[in-house]
Amino acid sequence: MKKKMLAVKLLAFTVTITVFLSGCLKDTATRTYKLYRPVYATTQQVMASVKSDVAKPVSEAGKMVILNNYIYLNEVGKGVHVIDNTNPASPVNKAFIPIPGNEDVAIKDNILYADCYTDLFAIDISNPANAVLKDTIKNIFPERKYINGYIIETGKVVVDWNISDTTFSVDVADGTWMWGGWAFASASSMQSAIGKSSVGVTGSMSRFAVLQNYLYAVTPSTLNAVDIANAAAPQLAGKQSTNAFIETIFPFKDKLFLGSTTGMFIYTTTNPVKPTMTGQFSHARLCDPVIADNNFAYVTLHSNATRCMGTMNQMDVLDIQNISQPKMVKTYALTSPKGLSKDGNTLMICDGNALKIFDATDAANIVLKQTINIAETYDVIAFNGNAYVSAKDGLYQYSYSNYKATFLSKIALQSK
Amino acid sequence: MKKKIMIAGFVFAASISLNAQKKTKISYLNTTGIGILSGQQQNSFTVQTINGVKWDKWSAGIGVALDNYANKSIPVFVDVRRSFGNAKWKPLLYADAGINFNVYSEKYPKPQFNEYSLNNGFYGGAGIGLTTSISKKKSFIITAGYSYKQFNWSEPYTMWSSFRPAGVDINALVQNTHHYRRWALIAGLSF
Repeated sequence: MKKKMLAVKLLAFTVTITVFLSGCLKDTATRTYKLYRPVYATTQQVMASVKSDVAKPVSEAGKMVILNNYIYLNEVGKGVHVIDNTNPASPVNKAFIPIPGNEDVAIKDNILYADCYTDLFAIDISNPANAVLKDTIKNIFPERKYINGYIIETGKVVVDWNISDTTFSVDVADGTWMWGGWAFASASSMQSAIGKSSVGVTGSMSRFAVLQNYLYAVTPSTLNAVDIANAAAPQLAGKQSTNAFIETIFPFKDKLFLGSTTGMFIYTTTNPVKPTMTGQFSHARLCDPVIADNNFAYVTLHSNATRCMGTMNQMDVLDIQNISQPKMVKTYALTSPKGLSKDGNTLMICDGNALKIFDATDAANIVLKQTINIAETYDVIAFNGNAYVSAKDGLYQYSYSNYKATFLSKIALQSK
Repeated sequence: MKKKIMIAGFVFAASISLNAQKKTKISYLNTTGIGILSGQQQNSFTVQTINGVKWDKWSAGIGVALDNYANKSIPVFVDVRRSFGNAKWKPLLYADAGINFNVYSEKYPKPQFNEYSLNNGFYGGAGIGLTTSISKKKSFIITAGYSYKQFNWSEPYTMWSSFRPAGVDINALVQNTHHYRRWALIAGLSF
């Protein structure tokens, strides 16, 4: 009995000591991420460097614009690759135009419009091998002065980033998760046949669209109308709030189709300086580029971890014959759709790790005709029998007819 | 700390190897116990079971635990221990090393949109104890020692994160690591 009592006392003593000593131990927490430190140049230095330079390997393909025999391919945040596509089976990377902060491109009358963070550049590409900066509109995209947590000073441009892994201690209590998640823009696919030789064809993920004598450029919260009647001397003509988180813009006839995280918006351009919203179609919070033809709009919706959220991956086909009241025709289940493009009745969709080709003769009965496996497809432009597909590992080209595509070439991305 | 535990484990393993060469009877051993984990954050309940073998004064096995300290997790670990002497209450040393499998809980619910994710981390510990036979095949065992578990989770910095410092890309994936250090007091049975 005494031994049992001794054991109980020993146990009680040990528990007491253990709890008492807990104060000697400290829990700690660390937070690790890549820290970006900007490398600056002056605005004058950057403008002086905007010209055709020697070709560079493509390492992060962004949006693109097609004009005649050339592909102008955005290198995300760096500039524009000039690719001679005279022979689509063997495209030639001819030059690189350095434009820091560049994400979007559009072309009219041999003038390439490209964003440089807050500014818009108008670059003469009459001779692609000798591009010349003609004009700029300063501070047209004021939101983009905030980069990676920095506020960029007037007169300076971030031309590169020094990246380092950074770890620092945080209070354990601060280490609990905080969900700051809201969707952010994705953007770009293809645009239909405004494609005379003077206007470049952009994709559905694009945030630039040329319609008549105006370049429309969207930011998450604004729609900018830039008068480009004199293409080499663009003028900011109008700016309006969109009251939605806009991701993409697609022009068709006199309409602008804006894709947002919460729905599709249709603007008419009767007053081109201030387009008027005449219709909308709302959906759950998702990323959604949109394209359109005479009677229908095609909206791909995809979810992801950080920006789009949501849980749906699908294409909604909407009847837009009455543009003030778009009506759902049918929803098609997809894997993870992004950019899309339509040429005649041929509909192409970047869907996860595939390019899918559909017969869209009947909007209520769109039929899958071919699936081409390509890793992480992002955007596609189907135009005049050629399909241009940007994906994780390169820019692919296919010829197509009767809903069947044939491989032509690939510009492989070089790892950074 | 990790290195020290790993070295201790290595020394134990080497000793086991040497002992195995002696012709000692090897038998199955299960040790199951409950206890408390006491650290800066809280005092927390734990339960663990270790299945393995024993021979002479050594035992080794694979352990699984439910660990509620700060964040729920399931450590899976290799446990090596040795007792000393032949007294009724025999002292022992033990060392653990393994992986801490973090699980979603009320505090860290399964994310709806993958806005964060939990990642596995290191688990380890070492300490002393006492064991005594309570029947022919059963022993009572009580241990006290240091216990460490690592809780890892990652999240993307997003556009609206209020705590995003300058220099962090909005797409950056931020790795968070919590280092939990506790005293572990566990009592149980071996059979």
